Amino acid sequence: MWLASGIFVILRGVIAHLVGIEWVDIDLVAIFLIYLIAEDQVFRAGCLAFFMGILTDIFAPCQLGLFTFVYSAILLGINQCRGFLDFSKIKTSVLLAAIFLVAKWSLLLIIIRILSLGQSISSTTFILIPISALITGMITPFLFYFLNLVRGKENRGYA
Amino acid sequence: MGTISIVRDIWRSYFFLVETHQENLFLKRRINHLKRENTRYQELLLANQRLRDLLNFQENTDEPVLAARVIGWDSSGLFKSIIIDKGEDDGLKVNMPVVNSEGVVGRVVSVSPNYAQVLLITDQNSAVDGLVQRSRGRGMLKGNGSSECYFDYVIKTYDINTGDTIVTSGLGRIFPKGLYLGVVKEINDSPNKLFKDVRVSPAVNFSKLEEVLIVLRSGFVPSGIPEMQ
Repeated sequence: MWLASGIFVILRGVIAHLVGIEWVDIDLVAIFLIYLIAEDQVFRAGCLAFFMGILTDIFAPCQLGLFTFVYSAILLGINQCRGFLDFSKIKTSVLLAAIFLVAKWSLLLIIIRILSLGQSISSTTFILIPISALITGMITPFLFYFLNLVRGKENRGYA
Repeated sequence: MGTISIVRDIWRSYFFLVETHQENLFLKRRINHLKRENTRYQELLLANQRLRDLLNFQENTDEPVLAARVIGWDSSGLFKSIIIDKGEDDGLKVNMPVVNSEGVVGRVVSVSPNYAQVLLITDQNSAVDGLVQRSRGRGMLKGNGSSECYFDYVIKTYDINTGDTIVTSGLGRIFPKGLYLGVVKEINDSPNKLFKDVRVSPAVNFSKLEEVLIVLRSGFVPSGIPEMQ
């Protein structure tokens, strides 16, 4: 999972450019994090969020720590809500992956707007966020199934 | 009869055709090899054409330039940037302008020993001072995060039409004067607004960006001082 996440973070820009889907943000790291949370591996999820955040920061023209903070903060939020969530249902994971994407973009845009006063945000961004969230949510069950296969686990309700 | 037919089959399928079969295999391998070679030559031909365009640009500018290859694209999904294969060891510094034969690509925003990040002019954080080549009307070319840019702060009295060329003004001490930025695509002159809304198509086709030139300017703005917007 670490290797897949790392490769995804490093190559996603190149792949998106080659395929021509730069306008949409399909974040597999978010799905991996939800999977780990569903598996009750909170510490691993925290480490993954931290290091994938740093890796994204390195390859993006932004302040070091921006994505690290965003990934960690959202993960913390989801972990706090664990008690109210039923991870035995795949719907929960799909919904969480989509919410993760929306929360990520909301946080990023808020931080960027606060840090650089008067920074304008394109209206197309607000259209692309739900589309990205929808696509990431739709990919979630397939990735969960694949992860279970790789880990040699029986596919349970949530995957 | 059976023995004769077996002998004939052996003769036809082995002794007689063994060389043909081997020749066939050899030719198939040769075709595959030539196909690979042809693809490589096609790539070299296209690269040659692109580099020739860059060389033409290099010959037409007084500034020292350094060619670099694009090795990566923004992985965050939030920014419009590229990673190039030249860095601090090659003399690159922050805020150096990056161009190609078509026009302005962007500027260097961070450098490592062996690679550098370039913020494209289509990024929302990018702003380049420009002017209309025909009427010399001033404005600021800003990225909007998509494949287009806005030409902001264009005063209503300025003469600007669709199809006009936008070039760098040289102000801001980052981009040399007269570099091709793009073409005016659409103008919206609303009476309720102070400035004209101008949409610009960048000169550079960012989807086909493979090689760039970094203008090694001595008068670059140090990284600590933000570019005036």
